[in-house]
Parts: sequence; C-alpha cells; structure tokens
Amino acid sequence: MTKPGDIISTPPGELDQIVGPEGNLIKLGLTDEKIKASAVFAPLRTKYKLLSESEIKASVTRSDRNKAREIWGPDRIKDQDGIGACQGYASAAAIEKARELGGQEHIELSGDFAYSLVNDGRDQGSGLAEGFQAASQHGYAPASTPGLKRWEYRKSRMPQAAFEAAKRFRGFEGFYAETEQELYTGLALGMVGVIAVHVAGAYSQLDRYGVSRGGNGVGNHAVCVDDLVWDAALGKFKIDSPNSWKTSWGEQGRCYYLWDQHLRTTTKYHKFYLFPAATQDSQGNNPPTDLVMV
Amino acid sequence: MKLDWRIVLAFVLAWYSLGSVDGCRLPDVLPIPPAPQPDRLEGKAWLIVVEETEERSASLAAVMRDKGFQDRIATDDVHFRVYDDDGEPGSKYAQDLGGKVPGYLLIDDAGKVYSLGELPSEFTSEFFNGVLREFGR
Repeated sequence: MTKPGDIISTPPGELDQIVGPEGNLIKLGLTDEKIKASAVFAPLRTKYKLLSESEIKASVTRSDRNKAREIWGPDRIKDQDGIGACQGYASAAAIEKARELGGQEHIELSGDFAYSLVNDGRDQGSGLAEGFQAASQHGYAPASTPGLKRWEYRKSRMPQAAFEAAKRFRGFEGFYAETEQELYTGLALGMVGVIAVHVAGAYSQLDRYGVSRGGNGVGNHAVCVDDLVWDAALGKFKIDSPNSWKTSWGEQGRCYYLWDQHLRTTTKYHKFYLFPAATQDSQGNNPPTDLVMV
Repeated sequence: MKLDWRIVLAFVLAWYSLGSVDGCRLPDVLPIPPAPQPDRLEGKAWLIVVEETEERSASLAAVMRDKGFQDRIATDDVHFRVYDDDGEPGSKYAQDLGGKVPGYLLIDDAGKVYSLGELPSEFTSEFFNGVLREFGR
C-alpha cells in the first residue's frame, strides 16, 4: 500500500515515480544532460563578480526586498500532473518570472510545450541543457495558445499556433552555475533559476524551517528556484523553490533546499541555470523608443 | 573706463530708496522670477532603467523585488522596465542617456522625456519615488 511521498522504483530505462499529495503518481523526469551546458550558456563566474557571503547576506536581507513568496503566491504554483515534464515546467516558470522582474506582464508559459521539444515524442523525461537549447531556438509558447492541450507532451500534437506564438518568447539571457557561491550570487542579484534535486526518502516532508527532508543524489527532478533567504534561526541560507506538483504539496506548493543537504551531489551531475533577464516581447506592452528631449 | 565711486554710491542709494522704508527690501518693480515648475506627467508613463546586467547592483535587485513600490506605481499607470544596455531596446535608451549606465528615464507614452540621469551607487525605490513626485506621480 503506497502513501503520498513514497517513491516507486522502476526497471532501468524507465522513470521512477513519486506518489503525489493526492495519491497521484508523478514521473521523476530529469535525465542526464545529453549536451554540455557550455553549448547553451556561459558560466556565471566568467561574467559576474561573485559576491562574498557577507555581500550575499546583505543583499537578501534588505528590508526593501520582498521575498519570492510575497511576490508570487500559491496561484503561481504549476501542476505537471503525472508526466515527466519537470524540466519544461521549471524552465517555463523561471522565464515567466525573469520577464516579470524586468517589468513585463505575467504571461503563463507552457511547460508541456517546452517538454515536447526535447522528449522525442515519448514521456521519458529530459535534461536541462537540451531543454534550454531547444527553448532558445523555438521559444516558450503561452499556455493560452489556442489548441494547446494541458499535459500533451508530444511535439507532433502541438498546434502550429504554439510554434508561432513561442517565437515571441525565445529571447532570454542565461548562465550556468556549478558552485554554491555562483548560485547564491545569482539569486542575491535577483535572478531566477532552475536546479536539479534528488527526490528520494522523505523528500515530500518538510522540517520546521520549511526545508525538504530529502537528501542528496544524482538528481532526478528539476525545479524552479526564485529566491535565496537567510534563516537566522537556522544560521543558513535557504533556497526557495516552487515545485510543479500543485499547492497541496509542501508549503502551498513550495519548499526550501539547503546546499549541503540537497545540492552538493546533484551539482556534480547537473549544471544549475540562472536568468537575469528575458528579452522584450515584440507584441507586448512596450515603451516608445523614439524619445523627445525637452 | 574707470568707475567713479560716487556714481556707484548714488546708484546704490537710489536702489534702496525705491524699496521699503527701512531700505532693505528689494523694490517691487524688480521681482525675482519664480523658479520654473516641472511639467506634470499626465497619463501613462514609463520608468525605464538601463543596466549592464552583468554589473547589476543589490540596490536594483531589491527595487525589482520591492512589491510595494511596484504595485504602487502600477496602480498609478507608471510602467517599470529594466533593460540591458547591450540588447534592444536597451542600447537605444543607453544612447539617450549619453552612455550613463546604469541610468533611468522617465517618459510619457508619446516618448517625451521628463527626467533622466545616472543611478547612484546605492539607492532604494525611494529614489524613484522622488523622481516621480517631481512630476506629480
């Protein structure tokens, strides 16, 4: 008899599953990266001056800086249902938020469409680097695109309108991070990212600090990360993450991760991705560019 | 030409005699012109920040996540945008700023520039509130 949070192992070549909070089965769809991250983005450390621990703490504890949970409420938690589309959902969430932080309006982007670009028509999971490579070529389709069906993962079933609409959302600036300092620097500077976590054991249980009780591993699930929080009681930085398993999971769909507990091992197998900005939507609500000086 | 001190003294005495009885006030016939009032920015407005993204400051990162500020200006039909100076349209605005990046522009929906300038090294959203208040927003 299974219960929510249980992990169901499968034969080699198939995706493991977790029992979701409502008893539904969710595929753990993050696979090894088939291409190098450097084929898509540059490492953050080559473009940014990495911040010291004190600089990071000063940045994330500023009184005028709202927490991600105050900016993006439970209504923004995604639902990948049972398919192994975590990469698509996490990256769509990150690009949505990178757009918004730059002032552009919220447009829900389709995680299913992003996933369909790299799964070869089968619900077999996907890696992060190839996901971003495909998205930078095709873009992210708005979830409201006519004809786009929820949880459809086959590229051949995607409406042509989705490919057309996605062209507006293929411009984004990204970097990859390999170290704690790189990830924290990016988050402290307001970036939004996508990381790999390993769903195993008591992953779905949170401790009194809101931290997942899951541990390290090779990484089998992709999640969006949208904030870094200094927890004075814990004496540590916590990485805030909206999952894509509905609001009935975790704390209204979210949990925190700790570098040592959750990411020290996954980062050996996966790069983490950070997005400081997204290119302006050519059909969006944009300011005039021909200015009149007076 | 050498100035005669007696002429200068006569001029000063005549100047004060035109004023009030105590001779200290400037005469009303020569009022000080009022300082020009800035135009009021009516309707839809844009507050544009141009940054070199790779040199983003903690100050700008905080303003981008200052929900109170963002909500307040959005309610007032002021639209906030952050652009990288290397991309479009950021490079165009960077030219308008004379290359002073990071910088800001406050414009109306027709493109009329009400204020522009370089951003200080440390700031909060209050800096932008001050700019907006100057134009009635």
